[in-house]
Amino acid sequence: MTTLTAAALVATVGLAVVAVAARDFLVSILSLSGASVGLAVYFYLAGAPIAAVFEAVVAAGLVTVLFLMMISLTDAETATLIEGRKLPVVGLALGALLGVSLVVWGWLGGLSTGGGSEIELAEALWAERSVDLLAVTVLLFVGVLGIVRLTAERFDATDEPITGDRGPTDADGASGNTEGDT
Amino acid sequence: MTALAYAVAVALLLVGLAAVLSGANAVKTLIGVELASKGVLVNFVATDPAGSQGIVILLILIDAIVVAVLLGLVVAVYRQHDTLDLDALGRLTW
Repeated sequence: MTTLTAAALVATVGLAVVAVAARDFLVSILSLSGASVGLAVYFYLAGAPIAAVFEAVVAAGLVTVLFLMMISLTDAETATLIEGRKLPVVGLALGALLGVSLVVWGWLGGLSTGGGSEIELAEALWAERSVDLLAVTVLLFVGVLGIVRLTAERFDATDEPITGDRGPTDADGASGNTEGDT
Repeated sequence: MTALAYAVAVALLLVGLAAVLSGANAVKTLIGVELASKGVLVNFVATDPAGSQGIVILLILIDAIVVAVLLGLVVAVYRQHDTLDLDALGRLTW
């Protein structure tokens, strides 16, 4: 159990680093999905099974699909490499990652897990967090409206229609029909 | 094990911060935001696994909504400017 938990946590961090470092968007997104799966495994093993299900379904499923849909909409497949002048800051952040992680590891090493309260999830959601749940529902509605608006084909209804390659094709078809009639 | 979970929480937060700071691409920035929020979730679960399930579920849903709206914004920006490079998009990068 403990080994599996540690493996899930380490896999989560490893896949997260791959998601940030990879150049290919597809690799990044799939690594992010894998990190979410690892996190869901950790949630389950730590004693939060319903949160694990939500993490697996929403974060590893829905968000991944949203990212993939965004790639198909933008036709962008690779990211540019990080500029040289930004590398020191990124290295500093990663160094801070290592340092703070080591400090936290040593600082909290003696602490043991608390027993955890025995609140039922339904009670926690519907009785104690009803206002939060209502706020999330409103946010969900506003979010759906925002997505529909932002990914709409056109922002301005007065824009003229796109005149692409269809013009000559239609003209050819029209001429062909004319020839057939004659 | 709790110490490892806290360390992973901080690690995820800092990896996300590094992705946002590098700022080369809008998608990578969004992935960084997502990773930072995952670090927060690990912190909640490591502190109180059973009692924090409600707030963790709410945070997962809010995170999904935020990412969905930001991805819609990225698509809209791409249609306007034909690029996802943050340096080419504006003056808010460094």
